[in-house]
Amino acid sequence: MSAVPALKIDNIGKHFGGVKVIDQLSFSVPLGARTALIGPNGAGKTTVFNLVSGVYPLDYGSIALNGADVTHVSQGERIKFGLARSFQNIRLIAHLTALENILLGQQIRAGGLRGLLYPLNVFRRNKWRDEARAALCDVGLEAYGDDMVGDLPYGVQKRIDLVRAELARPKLLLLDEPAAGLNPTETEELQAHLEGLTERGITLVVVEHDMQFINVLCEHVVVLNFGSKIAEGTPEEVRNHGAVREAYLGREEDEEAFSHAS
Amino acid sequence: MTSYQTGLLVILSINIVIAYGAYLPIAAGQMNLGIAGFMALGAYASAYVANNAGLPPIVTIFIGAGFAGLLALIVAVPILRTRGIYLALATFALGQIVAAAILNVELVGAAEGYSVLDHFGLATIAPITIATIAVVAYLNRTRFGLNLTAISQDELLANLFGVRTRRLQIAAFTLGAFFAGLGGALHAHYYNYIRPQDFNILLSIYIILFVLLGGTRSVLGPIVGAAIFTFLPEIFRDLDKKFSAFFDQVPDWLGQASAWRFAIFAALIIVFMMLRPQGIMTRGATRAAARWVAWCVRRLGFARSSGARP
Ligand SMILES: Nc1ncnc2c1ncn2[C@@H]1O[C@H](COP(=O)(O)OP(=O)(O)OP(=O)(O)O)[C@@H](O)[C@H]1O
Ligand SMILES: [Mg+2]
Repeated sequence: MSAVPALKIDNIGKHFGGVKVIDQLSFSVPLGARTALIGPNGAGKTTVFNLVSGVYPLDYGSIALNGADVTHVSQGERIKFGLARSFQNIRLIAHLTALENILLGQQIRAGGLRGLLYPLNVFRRNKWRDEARAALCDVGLEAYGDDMVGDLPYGVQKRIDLVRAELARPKLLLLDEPAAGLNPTETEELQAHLEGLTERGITLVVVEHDMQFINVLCEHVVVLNFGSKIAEGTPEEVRNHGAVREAYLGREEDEEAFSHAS
Repeated sequence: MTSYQTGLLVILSINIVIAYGAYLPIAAGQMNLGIAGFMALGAYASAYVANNAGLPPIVTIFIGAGFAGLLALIVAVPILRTRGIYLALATFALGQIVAAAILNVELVGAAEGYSVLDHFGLATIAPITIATIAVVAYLNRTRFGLNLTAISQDELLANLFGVRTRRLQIAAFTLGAFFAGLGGALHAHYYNYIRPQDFNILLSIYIILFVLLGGTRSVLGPIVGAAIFTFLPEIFRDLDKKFSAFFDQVPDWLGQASAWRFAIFAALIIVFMMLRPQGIMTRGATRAAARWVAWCVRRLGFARSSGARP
């Protein structure tokens, strides 16, 4: 008996206008692992995340989270199935502070009307704010808690975006280019942080262009090109796969990244 | 206090309550241009109940507010499907429908206007205003307030994190209509006479301006906006007397000098909006104000305690 995958994508498709952006795509994400979703620019990686999180409806096919079919579950309800995500273009609420942005991540756990009307900022101590502050401390951002998030540096915003998603206490976390724009030190910290998430039992799917990062972090790689899966396996297997090399051919940076990595 | 000053404070108090009626939907990213319509509902409903049911006046104004809120809740479901400029137009139309309907209801005087028997003064109205400010200030410090800001900035994102965006927008719209109705009921009980044309579109637009000028992200915004709109025209009223040497120079063909105060006022609003499109009371400004008040309080306390020392 094989374990139920954290995410099962079964023959899905999506077109925008006349362009098939996702075409008969199937793959599974094993529970508790770190899976990479890679592919050239425009391959459809972000679109896969958008389809899984329900931002767009599917043309056909089905998506299951932890064995539960969520194909027809609305975008606002999927988080209840233990799904959270980050965004390629950071989507923080610029008019809220760093701390308040993180409080938004707890929304799903806050409960109905009572949670909605529970004072967050009246008494000195508050379990939600204390938790959010602790989460900020964990990633070394305690100093930024009360700053308007729009004024903060990019690397800091990136971390806040990630922490916010974590505070939804997801079982499956989709990260869209978490290392993009980070310096080497920040990238290393991120790696350690993501390994910590796995230890806490969170399944990760990471979209990333930095192959070095993928090789160190992920045990399972899915390669997309033109909206279809062209390869799947360990980083080693994928690296030596003919179709993958072909897909990246002519893209010198990517070629370089590949040869450096191998 | 002279009765002129008391009257101004009453108008300010009522304006603040109504301003929150526009503030709440704006906080959720929605423009309600039908505020005057909800005021009219609150005003007429409270007046009718006050004149006929023999209930305590304080109860009747909340019945009026509740009536406005209830109607808002009923229309919210279809009307909030529209967005942006279409929502503004839909709410504008709603306000017009309310005014037109009242014009035809003989029960409340139709075009003749309607008298209200009970009278409220500053002593009743000010506490209601303070309670309203307290309620909104509290809501701003809950997830409700947090989520409204999130919705107004990025509805999709808020929704992905499990915020019930539509429900919250309906709640903000309804609660806003409740406050507009409350303000309308206070208006009816202060002036003791209401006519359909008291609640026209111009009023709705002014109330939106209160909030946009004062600031949409702070509980202080509507207060500051309402204060500016209540006091500035009055200050100008005296100006043309004080600076009569200047205003007397206004050539005849420009008409009455005193009439120009509204033009000057409008020009000032435009300048304000250009200089501070985010409104006067931003979050930062509110924090600075809070720090300043805290500092003053500390200084005062310190001065007093040190003065008491032998
Ligand atoms: N909402 C949309 N409307 C129209 N076309 C879209 C939309 N979203 C994505 N696309 C198109 O779908 C294709 C795949 O886009 P997607 O963002 O998923 O690629 P990606 O693999 O994430 O690329 P990148 O590495 O650059 O982030 C692109 O050609 C893009 O232009
Ligand atoms: Mg992308």
